Amino acid sequence: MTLAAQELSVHAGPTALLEHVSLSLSPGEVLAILGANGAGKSTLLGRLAGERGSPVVRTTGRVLLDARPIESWRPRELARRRAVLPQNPSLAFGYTALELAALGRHASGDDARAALAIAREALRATDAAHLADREVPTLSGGERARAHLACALAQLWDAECDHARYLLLDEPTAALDLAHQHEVLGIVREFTRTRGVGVVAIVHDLNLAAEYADRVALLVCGRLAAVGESTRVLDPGNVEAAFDVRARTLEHPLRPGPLIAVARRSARGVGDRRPPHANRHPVSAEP
Amino acid sequence: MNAAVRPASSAPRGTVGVGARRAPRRLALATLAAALAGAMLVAIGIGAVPIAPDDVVRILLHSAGLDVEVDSQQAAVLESIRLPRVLLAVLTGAGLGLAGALMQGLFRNPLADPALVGVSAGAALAASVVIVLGAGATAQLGSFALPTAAFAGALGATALVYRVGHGGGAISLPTMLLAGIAVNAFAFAGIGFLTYVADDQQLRDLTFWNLGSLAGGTWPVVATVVPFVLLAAGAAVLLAQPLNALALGEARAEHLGVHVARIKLGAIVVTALAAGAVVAVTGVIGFVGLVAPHLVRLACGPDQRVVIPGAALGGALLVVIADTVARTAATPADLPLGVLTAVFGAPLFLALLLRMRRRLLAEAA
Repeated sequence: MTLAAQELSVHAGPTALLEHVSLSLSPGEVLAILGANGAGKSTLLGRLAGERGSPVVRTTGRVLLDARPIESWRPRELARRRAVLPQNPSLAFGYTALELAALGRHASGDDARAALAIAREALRATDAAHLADREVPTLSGGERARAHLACALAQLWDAECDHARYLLLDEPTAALDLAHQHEVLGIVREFTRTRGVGVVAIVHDLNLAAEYADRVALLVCGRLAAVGESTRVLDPGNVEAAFDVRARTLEHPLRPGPLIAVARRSARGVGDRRPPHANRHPVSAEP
Repeated sequence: MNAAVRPASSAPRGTVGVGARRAPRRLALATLAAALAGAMLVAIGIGAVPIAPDDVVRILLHSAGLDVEVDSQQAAVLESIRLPRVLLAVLTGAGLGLAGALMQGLFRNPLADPALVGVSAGAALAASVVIVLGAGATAQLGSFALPTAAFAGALGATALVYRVGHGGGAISLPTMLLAGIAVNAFAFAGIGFLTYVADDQQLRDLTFWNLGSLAGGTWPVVATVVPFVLLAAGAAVLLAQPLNALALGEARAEHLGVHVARIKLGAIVVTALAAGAVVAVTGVIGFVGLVAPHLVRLACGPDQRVVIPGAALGGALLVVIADTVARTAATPADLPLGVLTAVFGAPLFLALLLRMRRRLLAEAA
């Protein structure tokens, strides 16, 4: 049982957004996707979620969910197996945080009472229980992010479940303060361990990725530059190539494992070893 | 979880405000239903021949077959004039309220209204075409010709406005409203042309659509509209929960397991069904579809499972009251209902716009 991309390529006209990406995720594992802006992270996440993308892009290769092409799943069956948290979730009308989280139970077949009970638990898990009766538009950015995360967790909440489940997160920590970044990724990792959910998360902070992910995948210009354990993938060479910065790894003073330190690459520096392919991707066509 | 970071999570995290204050849903719906029943009883009694509410109940029981004494003149007025008219008011309000709630859910915007975005005008144009040019259609379909044509017109207008206002998975409000202006302009130009070529009898029929009125409220008309509104109401209830998910946007609704394309099509068809049938017999009555769902949302929150039935009940209540005012305020004249709802609805719409101004400006920029 895996969620897998096989030889996945996405082209918008002559521009490649993704090229020959193959990657798989098992239940119970956290995979972080790293890469510069425009490297294809959101495109990859969208395809793994089963989105077809805009009509102007051409997709080749396959995404398989439990060995079945993802587009062959019916929406409801698919929704019981994978949940998605988009980068900038929006919500029309003044639904409360509780009502929002309960929307995650749409495909579950729960009655309204059961859906609300799970929504409350999911809000508690994201440290947002006290926001249950607040209208989502009145919440701060971080509070709103936790309410939306609760909605995604509620979707995969069932403790007993006879199939694999996957949670796809597009920058779940973007709107959060430091404490809540760790809190949320901790919750997500806990969720994978206790419920056997596989997680793919786009993360920008290399050290957060190194701390919470079992494996990391590094995208450079639509290609999968490296995938594997964070200590191996996030070596200074890879980081410098992918993000166009200077990088060193040190021993982390507060926890086991490396600390990745980065600094701006000086424009006229002697040691400027910018590899030719490390430039920002010319098209930032992330949908 | 890492113990070192745990304590930080208990740091202050925004203000803990009071929860949204909301009326209990069942109570709100029951109150609306009771208010509607009360308003109907009173409305039936008001007019040139006054009938007290207890007499109304007695006459209704009498016609139900019970052995109660009734005034035969009052009974005749009630059964042949008042009752069909009040029932048509209920159907009209319910249809417009449903259409408004569905459109607002579909467009993810509280400013959508069947009259505002041209759905009613599309229905009115198609109905006018049948009146002036469609003698054949009337012969074929009888009394269902008008509602069927109006349904088709409403369907075309809704689909067009949705198509134009919709881009990249999101709805642009300015585009939607501007598309509505274009559809309205085109439809009323068409109606104007038809008015110009119509003969006297057709002209009299056409004046309906310019003003909107329930004066045509007779039993055959009620019987024609009933199936459309009931069908729309039944389907709308099924759409409620998927429309809740659609508030998160199309991509996210799909992730939650909603068959988005099917739900959008369903909402467009049901909107056209409810609005089209009503417009076919009453003409364009604006703002009911805007105001009714809005009031329910203010009282009970945005859950479509309450907003949809609440908008149907609330719309019916509004139209029953408004029509009673329309036919009694200046007796013996029968004021056009569409004029009355616009007089009250337009300022309310402006007030809504003022409240949403900041967001609208941000979106238009």
